[in-house]
Amino acid sequence: MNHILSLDSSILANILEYLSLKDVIRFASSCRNLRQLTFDTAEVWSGHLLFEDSSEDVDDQVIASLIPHITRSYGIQSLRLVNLNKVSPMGILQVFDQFAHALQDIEISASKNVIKDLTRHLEAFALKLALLQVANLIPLTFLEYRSRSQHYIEQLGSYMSESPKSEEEKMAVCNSHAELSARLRWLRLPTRLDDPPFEQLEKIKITFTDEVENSDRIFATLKFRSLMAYLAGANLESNLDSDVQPHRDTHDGRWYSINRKHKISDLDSKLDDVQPSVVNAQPDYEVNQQCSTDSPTNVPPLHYNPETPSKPTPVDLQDTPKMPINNKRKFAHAEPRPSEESKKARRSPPTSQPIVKVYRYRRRQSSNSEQSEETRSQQHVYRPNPVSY
Amino acid sequence: MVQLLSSDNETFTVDKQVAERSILIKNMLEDVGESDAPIPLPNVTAKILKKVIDWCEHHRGDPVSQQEEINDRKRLTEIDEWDQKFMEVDQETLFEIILAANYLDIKPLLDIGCKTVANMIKGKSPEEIRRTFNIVNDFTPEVRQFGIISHCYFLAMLST
Repeated sequence: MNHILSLDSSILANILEYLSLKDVIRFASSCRNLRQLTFDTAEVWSGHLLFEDSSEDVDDQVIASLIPHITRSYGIQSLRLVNLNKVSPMGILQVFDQFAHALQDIEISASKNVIKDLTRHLEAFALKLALLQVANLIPLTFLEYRSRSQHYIEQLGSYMSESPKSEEEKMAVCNSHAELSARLRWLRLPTRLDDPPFEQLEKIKITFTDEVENSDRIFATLKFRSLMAYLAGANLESNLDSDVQPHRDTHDGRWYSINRKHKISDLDSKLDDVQPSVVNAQPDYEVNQQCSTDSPTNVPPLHYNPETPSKPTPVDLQDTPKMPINNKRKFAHAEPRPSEESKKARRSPPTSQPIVKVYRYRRRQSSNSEQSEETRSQQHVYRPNPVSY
Repeated sequence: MVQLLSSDNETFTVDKQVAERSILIKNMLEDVGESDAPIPLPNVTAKILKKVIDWCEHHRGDPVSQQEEINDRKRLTEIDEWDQKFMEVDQETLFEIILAANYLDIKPLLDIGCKTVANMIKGKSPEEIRRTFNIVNDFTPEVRQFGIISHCYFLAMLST
C-alpha cells in the first residue's frame, strides 16, 4: 500500500513546505496522483515556492513549463520575483497571466532594463485594455497580449507619439498618477478600468538590482506604481482635487448612449452637436448653455429629447454636471449624463445577462480560431482547465 | 486523569496535562466538563495512540505557543534528537502517526512527522522517490522518454 498517497492535500502541503522548488517538482514527477495533488493544491504554492530568491534554476523555459500546471485558484496571493536574473519580462507576464486575478502582494526586484521593458509591456497592455473598454469589448488577457506583444507595443508607440507635450504635463511629471491620468484623458480613455486584471492587488514592492541614478529610479518606480494602480482598478483621478466633472462620468454617458440600440440615431445628432450650426438651430439649447454656469442643477442634459424612452427623472436633472470649461473636451461632455437607475440598468440588464455570457463564450471561440495552429496548441497546454465565465 | 479509548477498544489513562497537548481532546474536555467516561478516538489504533501518548509525555512541559509558532515556522528541517529517534519507525507507522496527529490536532507532532517525510524526499530523483515510497510510475512511455531526453528536470513533467 502506498501510504503517501493516503495523505490529504493539507498534510501534503505541510510536507512540501519544507522543500525547495526543485524537490517539489521532482516529487510531483514521481507519479500522476501526486502530480495532480501537488499542482492542484494552492497551499503548496502560496508559500515560499513562487519564487525562491536569487534562484539560478528559474528561467523563462522553467516558467513556461511549470506555471501553467499550477492551479489558478484564489489561494495564491503573493508573488516574489526577487533577483531572478534569467527571467525576462515576457516570463513575468506569463506568471501574471496565471495568477494576476488572485495576487494581493507582488515583490519584484530586477535590473533596470527588465523593469523598463516590463513597464513598457504593461503600458501597452493597459492602453489596449482601455481601448477595449471604450469599445465595450472583452478585456485582453496576458496570454493574448504575449502572443501579439510586438503589435501592441507598436500601437502604444503610435498613441504616445500623438500625446501632447504641454507645459501642464511636464509639470505633472513629479506626480505620475496625474501624468498618466492626464494622458488617458487626452486620449479620451477611461481613467479607471471596469475589469482590471489585478483585481485583488494591494501592495507592490519594486527594487532595482543594479546601480541606477536616483532620479531615474524614482521616476521609473513611480511610473510603474501608477501603471500597476491603474491595472489594479484604481481610479487615477480620485486623487486629484479637480473641480471638473470626473472623466469617468462623461464616458459613462457616451457608452450609455452608444449601448442603447434604440438610440442609435442619437449618434448622428451627437456628431452634429459639435458643429455650431446645429447649436444655432436650437435656441433653447443655447439659453440653457448660458445659464448653466450659474445654475447647473436646472439644466436638462444637452441631448434631452422628450421622445426618447429614457426620459430624465428629476433626480437626474439635479445630478446634471457643470458645463465643460475646456473646449477640447466638449465632445465628451456634450452627452446626457445617465440617471443612476439607467446606469444600473446598463451595467446589469436583467434580461440580456445570459446573452452577454453567450457572446463572451463565442468571442473566445472565434478569437481562438483566428490564431495559428501553433498558438492554439500552446493555449491548450497553458490552460488545461480554461476558466469558465 | 483522563481515559482515552482507541479504535480497537483499548483504554489508556493519562494525565490531563498530557492529553491536552491534543487540541481535539482539550476542546472535548472543555465541552464535556468533569466526567469519568473514556474519550473515544475512533480514528486511532492502540499502537499509534501509545506512540502519540509517549510523545505527549515527553513534550508535556513544552510551551504551548500556537500563533507564534505558525509565524516563525521557517523551512528548517532540523529535528531534535529525541524526536528523530521517536520517528525511526516503519513507513506505515510514520504515516499513521501523521494522520493521528492531524486528527488529534497536535501541531508540533504533525510538523515533526512532515519534516521527517520531507527529509526523505529531499535531494532525491523522481525514481528514488518512487522507490522510497513504493510508488508505481504510471506516466505513459512517451512522457517517460521525454523525461529522459530533457536535460532539465523541470521539463520532466511537461506535456502530460
